[in-house]
Amino acid sequence: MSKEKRMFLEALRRKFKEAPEEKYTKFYIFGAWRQSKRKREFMEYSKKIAKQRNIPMYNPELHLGAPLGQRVLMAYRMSNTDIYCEADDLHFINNAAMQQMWHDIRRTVISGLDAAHTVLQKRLGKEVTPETVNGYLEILNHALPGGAVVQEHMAETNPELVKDCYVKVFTGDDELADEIDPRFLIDINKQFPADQAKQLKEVVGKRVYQVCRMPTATSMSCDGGTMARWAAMQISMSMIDAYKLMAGEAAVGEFAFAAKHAEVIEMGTLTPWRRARGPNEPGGIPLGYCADMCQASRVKPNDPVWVALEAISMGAVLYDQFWFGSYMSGGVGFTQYASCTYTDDILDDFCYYGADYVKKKHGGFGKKKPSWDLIKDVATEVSLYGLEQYEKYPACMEAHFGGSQRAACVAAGAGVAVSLATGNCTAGINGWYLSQLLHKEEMGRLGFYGYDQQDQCGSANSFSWRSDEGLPFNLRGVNYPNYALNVGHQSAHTGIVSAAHGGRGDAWTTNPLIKIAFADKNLVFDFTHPRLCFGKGALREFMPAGERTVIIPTH
Amino acid sequence: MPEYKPQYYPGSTLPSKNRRKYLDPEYKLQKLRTISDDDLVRIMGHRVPGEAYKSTHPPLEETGEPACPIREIVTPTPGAKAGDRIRYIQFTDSVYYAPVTPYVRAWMYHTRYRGVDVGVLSGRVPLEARERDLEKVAKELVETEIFDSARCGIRGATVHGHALRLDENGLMFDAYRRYLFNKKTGEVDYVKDQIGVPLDKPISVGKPIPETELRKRTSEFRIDGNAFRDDKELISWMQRIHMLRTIAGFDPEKVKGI
Amino acid sequence: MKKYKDVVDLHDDHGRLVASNIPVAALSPLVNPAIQKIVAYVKQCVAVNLQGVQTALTTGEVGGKWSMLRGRSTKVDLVGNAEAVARDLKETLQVKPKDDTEVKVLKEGKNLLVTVPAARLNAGVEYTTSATAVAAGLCHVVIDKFNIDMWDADLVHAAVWGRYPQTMDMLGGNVVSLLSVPQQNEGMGYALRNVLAAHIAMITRKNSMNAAALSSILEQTAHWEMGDAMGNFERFHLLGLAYQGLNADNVVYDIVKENAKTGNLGDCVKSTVNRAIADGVIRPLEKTKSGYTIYTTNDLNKWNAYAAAGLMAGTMVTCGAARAMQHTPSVFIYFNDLLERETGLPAVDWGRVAGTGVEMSFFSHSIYGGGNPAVFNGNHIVTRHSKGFCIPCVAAAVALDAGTTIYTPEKLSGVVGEVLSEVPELREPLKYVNEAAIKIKGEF
Repeated sequence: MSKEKRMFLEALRRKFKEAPEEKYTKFYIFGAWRQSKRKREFMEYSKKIAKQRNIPMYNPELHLGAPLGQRVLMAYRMSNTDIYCEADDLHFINNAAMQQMWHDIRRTVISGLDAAHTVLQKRLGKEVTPETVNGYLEILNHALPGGAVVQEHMAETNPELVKDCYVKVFTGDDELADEIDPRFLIDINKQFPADQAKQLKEVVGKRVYQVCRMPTATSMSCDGGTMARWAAMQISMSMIDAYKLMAGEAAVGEFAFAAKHAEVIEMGTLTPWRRARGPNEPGGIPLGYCADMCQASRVKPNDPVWVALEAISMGAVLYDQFWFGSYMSGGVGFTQYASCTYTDDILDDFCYYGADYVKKKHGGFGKKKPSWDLIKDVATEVSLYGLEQYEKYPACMEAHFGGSQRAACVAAGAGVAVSLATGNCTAGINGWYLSQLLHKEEMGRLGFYGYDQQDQCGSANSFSWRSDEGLPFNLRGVNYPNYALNVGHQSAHTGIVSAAHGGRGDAWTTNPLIKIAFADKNLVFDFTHPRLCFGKGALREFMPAGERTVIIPTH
Repeated sequence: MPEYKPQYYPGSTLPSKNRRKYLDPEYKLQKLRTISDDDLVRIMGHRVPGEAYKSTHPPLEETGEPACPIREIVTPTPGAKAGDRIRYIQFTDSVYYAPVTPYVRAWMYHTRYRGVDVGVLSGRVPLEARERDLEKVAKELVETEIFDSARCGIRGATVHGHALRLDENGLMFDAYRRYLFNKKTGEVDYVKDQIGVPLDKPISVGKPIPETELRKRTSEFRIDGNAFRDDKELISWMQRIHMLRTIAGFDPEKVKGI
Repeated sequence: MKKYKDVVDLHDDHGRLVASNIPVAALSPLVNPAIQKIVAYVKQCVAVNLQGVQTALTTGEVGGKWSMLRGRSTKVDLVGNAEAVARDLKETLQVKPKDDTEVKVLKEGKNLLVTVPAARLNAGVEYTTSATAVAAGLCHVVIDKFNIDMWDADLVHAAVWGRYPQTMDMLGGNVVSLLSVPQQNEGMGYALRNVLAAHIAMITRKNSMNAAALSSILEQTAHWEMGDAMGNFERFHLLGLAYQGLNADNVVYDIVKENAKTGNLGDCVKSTVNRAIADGVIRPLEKTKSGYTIYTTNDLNKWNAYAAAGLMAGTMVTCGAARAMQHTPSVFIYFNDLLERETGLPAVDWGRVAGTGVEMSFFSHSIYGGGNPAVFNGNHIVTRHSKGFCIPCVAAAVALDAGTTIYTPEKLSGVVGEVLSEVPELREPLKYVNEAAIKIKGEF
């Protein structure tokens, strides 16, 4: 990409219908909230609801001082797509694709099968063959959604309600994989480019893992902590059925222990007292896991920038919109802290600029070891470039009207570039921190009240190794102390992890099993193209799972 | 022992020099306009002009103080002594050559004023102090060169606008339209107080400063004016701080003589 | 523990010289007997709200806000019999005659200050022993002494223990330790950081120098427990404790005094730089073209200690002048911003105090947070980032507040602060730690 072209200009023209370079405009003439199709729709609903329930509801006229919409309520372009939508369409409550991405993550549990097979063979004297495994998987695909297999007279779930629930397996052993019923197999050879498949098969070896997807309806009614328990119960029951075991013998406890504890990999670990949530909730999901869940790396392995940007959009929704925006703050207004990273092609522009700079100055991706000189050079240049775009194009500044949005995008460009250059995401995050400090000094302003807490601590904590500071960046997440209440960061942090490994040509960043588990076409959300999928959600073209149509009155 | 002279701020370009100037309490801020005490009180909206200060606790002389060696030596501000409430004034500064940026405000408030509580966000700077102390400070903040009637706003809530383009009169966006450009006088009139409550009569805060003048007074770096890229000294200073913080985090013993 | 050459002059809370050339190692929590006694007291001392137990039994209001059990009531005159209750409780808790068990009756029987014998703590691994022993012991005393029958024993349990064990802690209970239950700790070794600034201010009876000292002792000692004060980082904490918390070399007091009448935060920054240059801690490295001098140091840990002392002084001047606590986060950010811009050297805790200030300003000033500085402690996701250098300033600021908040330290601390202020070592830690350091100075 040449310096003269800017990826964001088209989006800016569409947003404002004025030249992006123009410094003056008009305000107060847009009819306030009435300029927005979405808000008009909201108002219609609100009037009806108020009448039905006799309690007033949504009313944008109540905005303190003046109705919302004294300036253009601008449209948002989903980056790298042709989709335009309103800000409201990106609120996670209004976007079914965002909800489904989260449900697909939360309802996933990976569980090793080898220990169970050892119990069967060594303790119970049963034969385990590909045929018996296929038989077991068929039973589990009946049991996991809520079908009874051992006890009599059990209440069961309506298949239509839980149709997104299933189990699949994967292995690094091609011969064994060939003998698994393809309906139950995540086929590494088919899902991944050859080089990535080779890396993944090597690390998995002959081991077999099952990927359980509990129903979205369960995810919506219960919580992340439910998932491993739900899976373990049904796994144990299915083992009893498949291998004709006695239901109450001690050896069965070993299945339960394996499935619930010893062999299980949850997407997230539980979080402490003040932000307490169980496992498989966003607070416990490391950045590297999120980067691995993103499957863009299978689509364009040679474009690690695009891959990082797709991963960033997932991080933005998961960490900023769900976790910080609602779980943690209890607030409802974090959407645009996050959406700045995946809309209007602004961050795309900064990241590709950084990638070009790394290629020109540092010989390509992953070619240099981390060094102070490199971090200083790359992070400074990309930060200055980003800041200058906001100053050259007032429409760009106005699009990112809050400092936190600008800070996240400029620093993300810098961090991704350092990651690409070094293949080391801890160096990448140090580049991010330098960017934040430069940004504060350049603009004399940065983000919201509490924005740069982690950025002030960040330089010192990048390479610290004391008790609650040092951790490879891949494994940090939103429960990491400095990051635990700091919106507008972790979205892009996901991309910093992704870029380091993408630049190196790695098949995964942190956990190969998670990378494989999400290479699954039966998932409801499309993890290969998250931004496109969120865009479809915004356009109301995305069909989620867990709908209750069959058990509620026709409406 | 080397002689120590306060230096306030590094950097070689105009915005850096202006930052240095504003932070230095020895530099007297240039007065550009006069706002009467009563009008300022009206704009702030915490009390009616002439009304006595409300208090949050009785005067210190009445209550007495706990035995504390620091209380024995630190003189309370007049507002603290009287038990005034702590109230605020908040400014929004446009990215288009407002004289000071949010952080410059915070830095200079703390080098110039005693007993103040300052916060910084990207678009606004709340300043809190005991009410009578606050009014004294606010006067200087509105009457001097660090305020521009077009590119700075006095706003309690709904501060949105610092990053938006300017309107046809060169004014920074304000959803509440607390201030309007008076075409007859060429001045900016406040028609609402800082929280958005309509005023009985408009209060002029003077003519906007011409952009050429703003560019001389500004502490903002901008690519179309003084580019940050050109202030190599400031960039290198910031890189140094980051590097030293980083190395110190790894091992403070490794920072020696650098 | 490494050997350190550093020596300091000890001063009291009024800035008067107490002793010269004391090895700084004598102030280490690992060896200073007074610090160890303070930590022991924090573990051993428990406040009992006897009036609270009595009211709960009478009204059936037990286990937290608005939890009112209809038809449940037992009238017991605990307050009137406080001396006897105390005597029986002491006997119950005592391991050996004349051991360190103490039960002191306060406020005409309304409160008890209980010191649980060390032998009980030594027989277990958790510090919760003190609270559980007192709660259990008190239940025994009440039930035995006042002949409570089987049908009301549960009410006694709830009046003493609160809603535990339905809850993890003693929600609505009347036995209070300074330390919260371990489940409430942010991470390993955080127990001593989980003490409200309000408690510290009340225990030290709002003497801000002692509030700073007690808070710094707890915060910094925790860093030994967390594993942070180890190797090259040990001296960082040791000097931090000495200079910021214990007024070593009178740096804190001198800077406050210099700016006490008319100074502001910026003036405290200048005083800090001036003092660091004068004491040879920092020196000019180079001059840039614009005339700006970059400073350097050969001892970054010492510079940190001076900066931390300056930060404390800046807090005392700013919050002292305003007689208000809310300024603390602003001091954290801007003292450090100004110091870095003044010197070209990293400020306190290498940016972590500034970072903590950023988040704390958000939490103490906006809808996303909750609470004035008195509710803060070091065991919070907002404050844990600084390695012990923020909360001592918060505690000092809370002590200096003249009553600007609705949730005052008195209200927040309840009986704990008032009761524990009866313990001299907790109330006047500076005095006792100095004396202890002088006693052991020959060991280094």
